[in-house]
Amino acid sequence: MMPPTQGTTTPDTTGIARWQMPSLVVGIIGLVACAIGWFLDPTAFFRAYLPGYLFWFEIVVGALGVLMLQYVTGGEWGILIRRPLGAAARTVGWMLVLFLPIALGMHAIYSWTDPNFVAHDKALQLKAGYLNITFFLIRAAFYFFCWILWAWRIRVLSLKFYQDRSPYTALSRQKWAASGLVMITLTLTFTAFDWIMSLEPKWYSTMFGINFFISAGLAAFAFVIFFLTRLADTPAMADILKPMHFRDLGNLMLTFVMLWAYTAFSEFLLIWYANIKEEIPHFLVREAGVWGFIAVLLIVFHFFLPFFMLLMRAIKDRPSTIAVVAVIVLVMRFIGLYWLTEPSYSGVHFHFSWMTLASLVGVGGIWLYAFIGQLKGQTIIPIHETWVEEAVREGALKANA
Amino acid sequence: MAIGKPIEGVYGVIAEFHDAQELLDAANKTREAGYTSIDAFSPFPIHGLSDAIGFKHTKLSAVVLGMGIFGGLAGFFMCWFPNVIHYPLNIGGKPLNSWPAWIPITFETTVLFAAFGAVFGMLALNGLPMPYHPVFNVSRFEQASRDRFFLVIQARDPQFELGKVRDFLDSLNPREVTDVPW
Repeated sequence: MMPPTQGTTTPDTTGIARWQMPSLVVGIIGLVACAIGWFLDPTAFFRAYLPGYLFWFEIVVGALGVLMLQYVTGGEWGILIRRPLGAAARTVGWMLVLFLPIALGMHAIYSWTDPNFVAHDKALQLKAGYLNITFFLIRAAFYFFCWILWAWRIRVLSLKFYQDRSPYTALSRQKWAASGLVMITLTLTFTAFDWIMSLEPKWYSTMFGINFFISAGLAAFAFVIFFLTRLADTPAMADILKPMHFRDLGNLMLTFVMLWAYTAFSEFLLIWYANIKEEIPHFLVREAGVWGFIAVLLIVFHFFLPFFMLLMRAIKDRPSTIAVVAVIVLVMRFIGLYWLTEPSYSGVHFHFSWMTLASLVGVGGIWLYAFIGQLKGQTIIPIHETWVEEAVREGALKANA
Repeated sequence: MAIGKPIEGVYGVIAEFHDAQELLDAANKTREAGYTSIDAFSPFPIHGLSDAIGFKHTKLSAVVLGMGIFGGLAGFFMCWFPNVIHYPLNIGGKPLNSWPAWIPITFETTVLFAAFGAVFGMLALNGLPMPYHPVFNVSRFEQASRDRFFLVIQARDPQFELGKVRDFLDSLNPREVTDVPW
């Protein structure tokens, strides 16, 4: 027996497909603005591009991580979000192309690429074996190779499972997902070191990698929940998505919100308490003036507000209200990334360039175009998978699922 | 759930069913017939059964929240009072009110007291441990922990009339209907 609306929940019937072309147009306009910025002030452009790129990058790699987690643990919570997660994960090739401005602009973005700067600093000379342009690019290429490989293998095995429905295919997909969780934990930890932490090459924080990794999972969860809420009112999906589905997903987003706060605060506490002069400048700069105000915003809107909202069933169960929480989380993710990156250049002085916005819109438009493209040609509910019937009927976490 | 007082000499009338779906359907029909004091027993949790017997949201979540807030405030106070008021010490030149260092304790006591609230509040609200319950007077009831499903209409229900309740439960196609002696 199949769910009643099998075959009808495609991107076309749910109205998702009609967003593809507008996304592309907006993306191209954004990238043209980026190109103008690049022409006017390359240094400012490259620095502004980094947080805009990282915002969407987090959603993509976070989706790959959550997707693999779902294939390892099973559970009905994930069946309704497998297809959007998979589609997001498979856009990682596009993220490789959109990474090019960062690779080309390394001299503007990372201070350790400047030989004069390194020549006057003993610590950076000792770090040069790791922090040098060639090795940085080799590592980035290796990370992308891993992400693309796992996203591709899981896709291939899912398509094979669609054909043969063999438990061995499902098992082999599960094994790829399990090894992939180890892979993505390590690669995202080092991505965080390379792409963000090395903005301040003399700063140390052992908590940084895990915090970035969890941020990515949170961003992916918030995006997918927001995506589902957009479908909840469409005729094709209205009978399928029930309050229980949003409650399960809301509970998991709550977990990610709490984990994020836990790691973010632990990082601050360890550095604040140890009070070592190599470590504290990172927070001293980010506590000053407007950055300090933003830090308070992060505490309130990245943790406390979503935390209390997600405790309440009245908010979790309704698409229109949980969508608000998801949007708050996504907006705060971007503000968090900006707070993390920009003070490395501007110090205690607040600075915001229109080019950051152009990058956010440009990368986002192109990415949404790619994401919807990946969703096309399949139903949004994976109607052939094991447990899908139960997931649709009950929408509940079950002990044996 | 308090057991209450015997009415018409019985605790209620119990009906035995073969599977979860039969119990779920019977519970829905019983609620729709207007009975309010009903209870159901099954070997495993059945999705939707608590709604079917008209189970209301308890005050437990308010108890847990209150205890959690109390625990958090108590934990913070426990750090603040000795460090700032009672025995102030200069540690590494840090301000006396070094609140970030107290957040882990505050967090832990919040969780601890919320958990106390959940466990003891649950016991207080559901009346456990309960050494005597009349349903065990029905000898077949021990099957409820194996492969049988039971539905009870309690005598304290305002609509309760022994003969009518027996007939009503009989109409639900149970395996057996028995009075539950006190």
